[in-house]
Amino acid sequence: MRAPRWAAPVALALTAAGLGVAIYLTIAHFDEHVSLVCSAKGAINCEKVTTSAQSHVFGIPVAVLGLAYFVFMIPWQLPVAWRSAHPFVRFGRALYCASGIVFVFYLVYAEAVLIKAICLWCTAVHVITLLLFVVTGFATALAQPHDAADGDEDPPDDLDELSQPNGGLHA
Amino acid sequence: MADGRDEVRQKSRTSNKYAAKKQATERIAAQRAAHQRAERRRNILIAGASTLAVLIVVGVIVGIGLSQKKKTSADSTPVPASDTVTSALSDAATSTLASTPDLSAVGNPPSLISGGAALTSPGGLPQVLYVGAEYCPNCAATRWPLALALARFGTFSDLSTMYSSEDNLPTLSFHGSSYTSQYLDFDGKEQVDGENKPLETLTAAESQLFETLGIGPGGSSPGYPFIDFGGKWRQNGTVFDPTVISGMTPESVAKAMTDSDSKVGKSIKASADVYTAIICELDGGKPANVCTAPGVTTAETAINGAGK
Repeated sequence: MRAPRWAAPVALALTAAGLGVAIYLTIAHFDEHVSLVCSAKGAINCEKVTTSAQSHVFGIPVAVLGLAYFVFMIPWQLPVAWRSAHPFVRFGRALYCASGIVFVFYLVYAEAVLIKAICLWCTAVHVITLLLFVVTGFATALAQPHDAADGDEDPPDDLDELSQPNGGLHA
Repeated sequence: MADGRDEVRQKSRTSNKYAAKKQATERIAAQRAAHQRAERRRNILIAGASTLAVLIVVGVIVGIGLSQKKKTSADSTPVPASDTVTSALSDAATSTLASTPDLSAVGNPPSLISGGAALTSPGGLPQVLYVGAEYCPNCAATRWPLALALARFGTFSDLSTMYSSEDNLPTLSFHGSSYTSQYLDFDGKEQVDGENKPLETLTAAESQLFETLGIGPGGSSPGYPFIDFGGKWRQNGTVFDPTVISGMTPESVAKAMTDSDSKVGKSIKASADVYTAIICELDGGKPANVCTAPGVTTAETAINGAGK
């Protein structure tokens, strides 16, 4: 499979950015000496969001879920994975990104409707997840099978043997 | 000679066959390329449509959030508590003392403050400091048992009722209220209003307590509500499940406080008994009719067992 050249580096860069923000959010969640650099007043209020009831899903901190999401995103976005034509890799990667988007829907709903406050760092993770979804979606759509990319169509079975007589005619 | 013509005819047939095959191969390759181009166009269309759909869904969610904010802002504005609420509160303060609490309803009881300095009022009375926010649903739930417990030791005036702007839960607001008691001092601060705008400012001492003790287990920063009971016990977060009062009005919650059979009544009474037992520890067990009531002694035994 020949994916666009930009696919792996762009997706990996986004994954690294998401991972960085997720690590920061996780550290701030568990280390009481680290607080998020973020407004605590008005509609933008990281503290309100990260201490809300919605900051845990099934008892697991959302920050930890985000961290796990980006850690497991890395193998999907490696160049070797982008070269693979295996359907599990192609569709698995797209489905994994789509699952992140579904979770982003819930988190945006939690922030906008339930908590009524926006956490900028969380929003950064949402935007990165969205960009990863878009990049992965378009790169998968633009990917070409190797044969089409190289132009080496499978020859008919007897083409090779036919080449000799043809050459002989003009010799 | 005949053999030579046969050979030429043979070569000619082979050449024609090859040309036909080559043409067929090129046609197949062209068809395959066209098919792949069509598939790519379709995939790009799917990717574009998916991106658009995602953006639309996010936009709709944000739109719902913005419209709800406008709709609930009126409800989250505190109004003076009705007679139904104030009389139910004072009735429940005495009527709920006799029965034994169902302490399983207290999901998150207060915890002991190890080595904390006593928190007292300028007059030397043990002080209860509450720090909350009017938007906060956990505060919405916790205010009810706190108000009930405090009503057993003194009298509130100018209490307000409202709905938390987050989750729309019926509750009281301590902002603008006053509390008088001969046994303890109550310092209730609603730090921000329902729109998360600053409402009451903490003193330096209050702020320091909130910043240090207001961080609950596993938390990274102080959270609402925070209650400091005389520097001995602290409440971080809600005391019982806030969803219990979801969909109710302040009046219906106040009435339910006197009904020990209801889930709401059980949750508020049990939590209030725990708070009452703590206050009794702080003020030396006064008044006796409150501190020796079955509900309070049961709660006292339970918290001391848990605290030790």
